[in-house]
Amino acid sequence: MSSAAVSFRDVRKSFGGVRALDGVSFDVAAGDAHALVGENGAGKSTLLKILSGSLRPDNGELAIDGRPASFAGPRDALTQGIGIVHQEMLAFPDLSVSANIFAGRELTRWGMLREREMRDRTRALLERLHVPFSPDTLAGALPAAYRQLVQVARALAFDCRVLALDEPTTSLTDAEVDDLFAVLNDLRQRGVTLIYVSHRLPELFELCERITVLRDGHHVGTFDRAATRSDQIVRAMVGRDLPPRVADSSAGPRASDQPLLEIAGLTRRPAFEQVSLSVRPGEIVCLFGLVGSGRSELLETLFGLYTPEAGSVRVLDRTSVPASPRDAARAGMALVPEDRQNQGLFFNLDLRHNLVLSREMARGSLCVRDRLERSEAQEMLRTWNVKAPGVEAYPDSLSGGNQQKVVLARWLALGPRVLLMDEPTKGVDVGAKFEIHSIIRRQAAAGSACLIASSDLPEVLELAHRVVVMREGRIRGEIAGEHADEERVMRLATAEPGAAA
Amino acid sequence: MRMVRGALVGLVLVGLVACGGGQRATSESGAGGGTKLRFAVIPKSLDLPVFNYAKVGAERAAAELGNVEVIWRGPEVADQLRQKEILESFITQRVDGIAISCLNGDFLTDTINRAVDAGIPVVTWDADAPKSKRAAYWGVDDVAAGRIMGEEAVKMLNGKGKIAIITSLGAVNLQRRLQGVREVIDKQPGMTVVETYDIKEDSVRASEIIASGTNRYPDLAAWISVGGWPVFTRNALDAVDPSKTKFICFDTIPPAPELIRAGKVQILIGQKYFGWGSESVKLLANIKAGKMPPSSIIDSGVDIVTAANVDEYLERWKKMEKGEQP
Amino acid sequence: MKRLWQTRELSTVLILALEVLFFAWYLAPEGGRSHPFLNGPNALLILKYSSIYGIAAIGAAMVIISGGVDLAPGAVIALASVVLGGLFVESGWSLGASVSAAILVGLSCGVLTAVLVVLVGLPPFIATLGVMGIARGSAFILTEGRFIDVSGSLPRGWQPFGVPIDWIAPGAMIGLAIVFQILMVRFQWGRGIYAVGGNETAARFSGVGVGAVKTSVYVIAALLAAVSGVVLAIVQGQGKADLAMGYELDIIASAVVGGASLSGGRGSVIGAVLGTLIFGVLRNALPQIPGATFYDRLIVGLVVIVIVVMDQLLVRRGR
Repeated sequence: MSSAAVSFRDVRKSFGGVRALDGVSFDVAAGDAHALVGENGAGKSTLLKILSGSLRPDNGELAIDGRPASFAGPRDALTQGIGIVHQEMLAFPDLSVSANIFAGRELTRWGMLREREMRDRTRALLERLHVPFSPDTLAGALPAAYRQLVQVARALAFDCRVLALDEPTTSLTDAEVDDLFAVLNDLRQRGVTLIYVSHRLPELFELCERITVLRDGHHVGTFDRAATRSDQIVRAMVGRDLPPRVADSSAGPRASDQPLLEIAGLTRRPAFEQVSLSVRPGEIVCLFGLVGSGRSELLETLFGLYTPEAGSVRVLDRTSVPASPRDAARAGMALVPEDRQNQGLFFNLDLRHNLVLSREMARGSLCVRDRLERSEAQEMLRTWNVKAPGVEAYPDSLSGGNQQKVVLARWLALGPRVLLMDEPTKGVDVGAKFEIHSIIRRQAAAGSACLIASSDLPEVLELAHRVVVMREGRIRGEIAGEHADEERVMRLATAEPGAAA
Repeated sequence: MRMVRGALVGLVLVGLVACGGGQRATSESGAGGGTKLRFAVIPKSLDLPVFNYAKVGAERAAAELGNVEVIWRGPEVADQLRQKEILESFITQRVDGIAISCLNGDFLTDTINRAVDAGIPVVTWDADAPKSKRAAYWGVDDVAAGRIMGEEAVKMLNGKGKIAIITSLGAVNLQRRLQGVREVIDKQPGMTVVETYDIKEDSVRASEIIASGTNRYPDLAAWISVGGWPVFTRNALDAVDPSKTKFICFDTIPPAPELIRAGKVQILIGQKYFGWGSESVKLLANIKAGKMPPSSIIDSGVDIVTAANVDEYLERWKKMEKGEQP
Repeated sequence: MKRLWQTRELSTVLILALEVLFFAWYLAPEGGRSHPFLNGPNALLILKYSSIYGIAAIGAAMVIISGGVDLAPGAVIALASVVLGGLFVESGWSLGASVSAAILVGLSCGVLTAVLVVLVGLPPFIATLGVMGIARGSAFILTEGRFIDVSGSLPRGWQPFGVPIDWIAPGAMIGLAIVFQILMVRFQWGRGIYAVGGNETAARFSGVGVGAVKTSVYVIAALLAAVSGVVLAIVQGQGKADLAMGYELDIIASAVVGGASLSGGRGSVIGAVLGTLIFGVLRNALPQIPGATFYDRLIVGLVVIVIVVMDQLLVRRGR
């Protein structure tokens, strides 16, 4: 297993004036599972795009099995045995799962589609991945996690010798991750080389023998799993030591305080039913649940985006269910949505407008006060440590973590007493995740009630004063933060219906 | 949401019922007349004012004849295909006669022949379909009318000066009028046509062109418009200084004669608007009575209206308009 | 939308200036004759005829920025002209009452569009296509295709509020453009329109009243089209059901040439008005080139493509 399946030799790539890759060289041994890590903007995606043939390097070369390779395009790379599972969902929502898997390389005979064969092969692939849907399901009708698995199946459909996965687990639950890893390990047994990009360090250590770290387009180093601890990797990624975690300086909530948010019997079928919970000032409550458990829908209903069928909501002194997000914001709530690209950011507006929009809408102010807003926005960028060229920059020039901080800052500008967040650190790098966690702690310490939906179990365990577990639209249990561990939380989240008392 | 959709469906239903009711009403009145002859009269489009007088004429002739009912229907705008569809619908309705002003005679020839073969007599008015089996055409020969415009211009300008022409591309009759004008003007060594403007059947565009063209050619001797767009309003000719530039225009319907009185227009060429309708209906009635027209092309002649005869013309016009309610 | 005068509008002004310079050079007369294109009365002429498009284009630009499209303005212009003409000339209403009625009719077209888009949830293309048919059809039904001569009922040399009649249309266009430009960049309402057009979901999450924003733009667009129709009826002196046929496409093209993106979120009111001037200059100047009158459809089409392609290249480079 010493020969290199893939070698990068002094690969360079620039976009405009920005150097995405600046002389990267390393080998991926055949049959290895090789992790590629780095903060957003470190160059991982660019490297994968070069590997998959959708980009050409400006300089340097790529060798497959020791022979220099140059791909005319993604199809060319695929026929040479290199498959990629992309981070973005490339699915065609209006086509069936099997059509998605074979899109662009349909099995044909005399130009006719061999539907049955494609369907059969899809069914076999889906069985290998242990996913319970038919090849004829429309991809758009699948939950996000399953769509990701369709991507994996798509890469597996052609027996690739090298399989690169770009953050395949961002929207998967632990159980699904386990299934995926079983499949990946199985592939490795059969000699497939894996290149695995992820932000989740525990996963890397579980799956991969070697870990390559990129930073700002440079190759920082390749580490052996056996001889490395995760904090060394983190240090290599961020180029500095992370400050030690603020040892919960806030004493947390006081039991005597009146809850700021109180929900009783809230129901919106089929998303959730009979949800009751309360959050006190200074308290961080994590709402843990798998995809489809109804946690996002619950937060969105609380924020006035939907009308519940039954139940009551009290926010501070207000006892009515918010009628609209504006109404909710006026009541002192804020919601940081899950999908910052689609639900959070305005890519046609500059950062200043993105930052002040919600507050101004909630205030119902009539005029736009340019100068004041600009200086306020500048202040917000500084306070929340957003790396941006300035308030006149557009969001697409920011990295994912900084984009998320912009969305966060927009809502914190309202000074919310009740902070709702949906997957606040989804797809952001380690450094940004750390910062976002400290921001949440700061908010709580300042007396806000924080209700955070997350499927990232380590995050939940780290942040929560109290963990509330949802499954199939109902609350299945509560665990105080200090008693919560992975096993107890997961047992509540995954128990067979009827098993939980 | 469901309520809104329900309301919409309701609206549509009400509309349908209303239409149906309307149709029933007409057919009843037709049946009530017993032996009334139903003649379809089809203009080029409903949006040109000149055709309203044809409608008045047709209805008056029908009232005079007593046993004729006129069905007036045409395309909302000048649309050849739509006109053909209307013509075909009258064939299937088996009306007793059709009088049509063809947007494109060649295009309609087959359909007209089909009507004649089905035993429905067809006459054309205003614009002919010469290759078809229609019984007769009643109207102006457009080339001849164009020549008259050209000759009047030559007379007025003593055969000297620059001319600008206004037309609209696509209409056959305008093309033929233009041809007549050019035949006369091009023979005059002292006269040149500096420009032929296409105003795209848009009367707003016509006034814009007149203003910018006057700007461009300050020494223009005359404008000749082969269509009536410039005289539909009093404002379109504001840019023209009548002491320098004369204006010759087709069509004489109000308010055009008033523009002659105001000195803005010198010559108008009028067609027999009422005659289009009344004469066509009479021709059809005669054919039904077994009297074939004397010739297949009947020249209606034109009215040349100038400052000298405008009062007399308006007098006659008023009488014809009143004839509508005898 | 940083400043009232942002760079994209500057480039539209530049195109307009280049266009004017080109025609000034191309149409320059020999000898000492006065310039047929470059003179005051001709400039007024261009403004007067462009304003029929320009006033409606203000509304169309707002609809496009909000991520929609409006196919109804041409038909609403015609309907307003017919309503004004019919009431003023044939029913003997006062001019003020007729104008108010025409604008009210336009307003109801806008309300209908808003109901169809916001409450029924129809795509704007379909909703406005339907309203276009309804407005145009109503105009034909009201007039039975007849032409209404408004000019005969207006006093000769009439100067409303002491303004010569030719100045009314350009004045209205420029005034409305400034008012709506300020509303779009200096007011929360305008920022809401940009937000909805840029990302409707994010706007909903951010507390923007998406339904209210959409309702307001469709109602205002129809209102402005009706104003355009009123101006047309008074300045041109006619009311007719087939007026402004196909103007909706010219109006959309003007907004796009002025920087609006049909996918929403980008564009400006001033840009759209400048766009109508670009076409207005073409309409004015091309007929002055001997023989060019038959080429102008072609040239207008080419100009749209060239300007939009240039704009996209610039945007791509700027990113």
